[in-house]
Amino acid sequence: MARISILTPTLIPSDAVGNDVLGMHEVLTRRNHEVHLFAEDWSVNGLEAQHVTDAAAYCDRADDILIYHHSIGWELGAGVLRRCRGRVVIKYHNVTPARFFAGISAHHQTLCELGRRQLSAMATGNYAGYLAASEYNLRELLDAGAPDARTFVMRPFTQIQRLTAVVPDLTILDRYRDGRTNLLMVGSVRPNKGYASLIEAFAQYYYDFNCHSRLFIVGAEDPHLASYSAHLRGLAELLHVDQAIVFTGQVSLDALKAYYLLSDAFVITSEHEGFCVPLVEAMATKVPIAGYASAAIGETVGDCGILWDDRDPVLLGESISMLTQDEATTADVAHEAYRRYEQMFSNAVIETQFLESMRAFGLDI
Amino acid sequence: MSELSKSETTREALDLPELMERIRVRAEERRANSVVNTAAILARVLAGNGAGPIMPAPVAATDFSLQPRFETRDNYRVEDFLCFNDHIFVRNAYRGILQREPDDTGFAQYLEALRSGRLNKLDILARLRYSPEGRARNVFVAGLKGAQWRRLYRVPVLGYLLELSVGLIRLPKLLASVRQLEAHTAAQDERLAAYINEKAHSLAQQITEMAQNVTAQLAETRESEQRIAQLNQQQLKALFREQRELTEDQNRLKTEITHFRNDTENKFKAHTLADEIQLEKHQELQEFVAKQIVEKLQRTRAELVLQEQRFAGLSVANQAVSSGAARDTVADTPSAMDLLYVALEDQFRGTRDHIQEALRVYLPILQKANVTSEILDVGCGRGEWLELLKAEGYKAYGIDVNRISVGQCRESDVDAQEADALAHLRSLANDSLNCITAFHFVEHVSLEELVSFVDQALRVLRPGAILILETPNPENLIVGSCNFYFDPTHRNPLPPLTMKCILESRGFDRLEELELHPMLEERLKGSDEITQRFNALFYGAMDYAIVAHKI
Repeated sequence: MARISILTPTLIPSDAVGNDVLGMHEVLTRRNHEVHLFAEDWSVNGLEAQHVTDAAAYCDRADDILIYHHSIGWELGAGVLRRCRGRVVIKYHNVTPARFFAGISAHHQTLCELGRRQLSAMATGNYAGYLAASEYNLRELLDAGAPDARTFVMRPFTQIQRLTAVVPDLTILDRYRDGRTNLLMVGSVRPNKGYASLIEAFAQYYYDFNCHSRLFIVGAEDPHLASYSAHLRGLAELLHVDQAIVFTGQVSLDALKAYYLLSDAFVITSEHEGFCVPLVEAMATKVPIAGYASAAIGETVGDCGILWDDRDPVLLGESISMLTQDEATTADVAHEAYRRYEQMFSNAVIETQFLESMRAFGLDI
Repeated sequence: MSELSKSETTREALDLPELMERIRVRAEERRANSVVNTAAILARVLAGNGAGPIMPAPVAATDFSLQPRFETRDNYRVEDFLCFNDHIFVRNAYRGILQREPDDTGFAQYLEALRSGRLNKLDILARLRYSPEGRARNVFVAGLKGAQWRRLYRVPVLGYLLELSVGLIRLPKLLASVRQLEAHTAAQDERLAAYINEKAHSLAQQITEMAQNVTAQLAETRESEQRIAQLNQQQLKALFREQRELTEDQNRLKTEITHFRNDTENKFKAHTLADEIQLEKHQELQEFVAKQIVEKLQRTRAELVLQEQRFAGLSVANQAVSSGAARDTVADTPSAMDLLYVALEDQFRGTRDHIQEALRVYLPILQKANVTSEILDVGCGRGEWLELLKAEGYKAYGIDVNRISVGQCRESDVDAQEADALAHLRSLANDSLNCITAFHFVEHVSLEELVSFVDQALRVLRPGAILILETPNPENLIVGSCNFYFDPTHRNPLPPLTMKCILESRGFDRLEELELHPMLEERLKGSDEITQRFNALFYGAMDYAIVAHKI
């Protein structure tokens, strides 16, 4: 059995990369491999992770396998990659372009710039294989110089099975089940997620269609991006929709389930996504999707949601209205989306993709 | 793998392009037809306020470095490199000696060696300079030659002794270097402290300024808020005042409207009442005038009739004077006609009691007209009426041409005379009777005699006196076509209207008709129109009476 190390800068279960790491860990452990998790910062119940500085010792043999999840600039991780004597697989989740953080956070800007530079180094590093979380990411990898023959799409493992099984937070259900139309966006509060566009589109919908509506913004807020969070709240106040918008901050899985159950539509206005797991969660929980087709969003949603190339709040408002009022349309869209989830994004499908990819890389797992 | 990930199923239920086209059309319609363009308003609001930069422009900060800036040249002294430390030293060594950026592997190896103490800076400089690449670059580094000898330190035992000897020999210089390093470090610390102090002062000044700005802005904001609150209060007060005034106005108007309505209603009622009273008076007046006119007319008629009679009397007197006095001969014995009439009366008129009962209907009429005496019953027959009147206390007498009947009356002890009606009336003085009754008399005389009889009656009755005439009712078809002819002495049936017309035309007034003796027991049962009309025509009143007043 192989000794496999999985590296990621941060390992937390509410994070898309973290869930992909945990999914791989689960599959590989089930197949009796010796799997070690390394991160600089982690918080996972029931699993042992180690600091990344210890990783070099677990990949100093030629038959060791190192799976490196790349999503942001990470010096320590790059150091491990350099010292690794074993076979390396890069899982690319995409790195947010640094321009989104300009004027907001120099820290994030620097990390993203580093991440982009490291992507180029990794792509040309002649590693055993490259996994892209989406076709969109695949193109970036190939553009950066990754070998076509050893670069495949493998969508991320998700926590959706747990999400569908968990009992929703009843307090939240009780608090917000008041007859209002609820709209939902899930994702950490970061500039690339296009929350300003979301608030603008919501205001359009609120004033033109339904002032008996509410928008949930479910996602962690980063202290480094406090000015961005403040800007969003200011925008909501400016447009006089602040009373109708709920910033939940980071939430537990049962709370997340409650928000999906409460919501009539998932609205995505993000400007940059490498895959966007919450879209799949919406599909699995049968919440119809409307939004703008930026980056990998169109690829993830396919023809199971209403996505516009133009960032036009009037069009989006009309779409939300259609999805929240026309029950037949909503049912059709949600049904097709659920089928898409089952056929393309369930963990079983992802596992097959993962194992086949690894074998294609010549790694016997 | 990519193929696998790209596989998707075909969908039938959802026609997404059609749905999106529908949404697009609706959005365009909304854009074209909306009275309020929300998108434009939102865009304007955003352009005016929220679309600016999220963060204020960052304050330019200069990088502070304790290590001097490295400049690339063709020749160096070792000191040019030794003043750098750690990864900057490694990077500058590459840049200076190999004239390029370090590769990842080399960089990492030298940095690790330096940090672990395995190599010192001179060793790294020497290794780079005397590596094949370094030799090729041939960069001059003064003071590095001696470093070559340091390789001898690696010789076991001897190397150690050599290094120790060199160390001892270099000790004074090393001590000087240490002192120099101490001084340098102290100087660097001073620089650092000065820099920190400067920045701290600068920051403190900036913070003070910002705090002052913020305080000033806060004060301004508070002042604005207070002003706004004050304005709001004033506006609220004004609103409340207006509201109160409006309510008061409304109440006043309500009261005024109520008063006006009551006034109007009262006035209207008063007017209506006055109108009604006036109308009533007017009607009374009209009736009074009409009555006066009729009365006058009837008087005129009566006067005319009396003039005619006077004129006729004068003519008769003249004839008598010219042809000798007329001789009235009255037979002492009853004629054959008298006998026949009595027989007929016995047959068809009914029993005395029956007749008296039927005649009681007239007693109230006499009472109403205040008649108690001077009553003449013309054609008194067997005297049933006279007998009744006598019994009721009235003073009356009768005349009849039938001697047998008069005899029967006398037997009944009522006052009756054998006399011709017209002749008897003519013998009476004007205005001498209170009442004349004639039951079943008028149908026995000719029209001329009837008219004369009416005229004489009018003459002899006092004003306010009454004439009562009873006769068979030909409006009952059985009476008109059959019963009337039971008595062969009957001349002409007289319908009520004809009777009234004759009386009225000869000067009588206030005519009243009494329908008498209906054949109730014969009537058909039922309430339908045909039955009712049949009953009226065949079984209605068999007799009628007209009560006429002299005015």
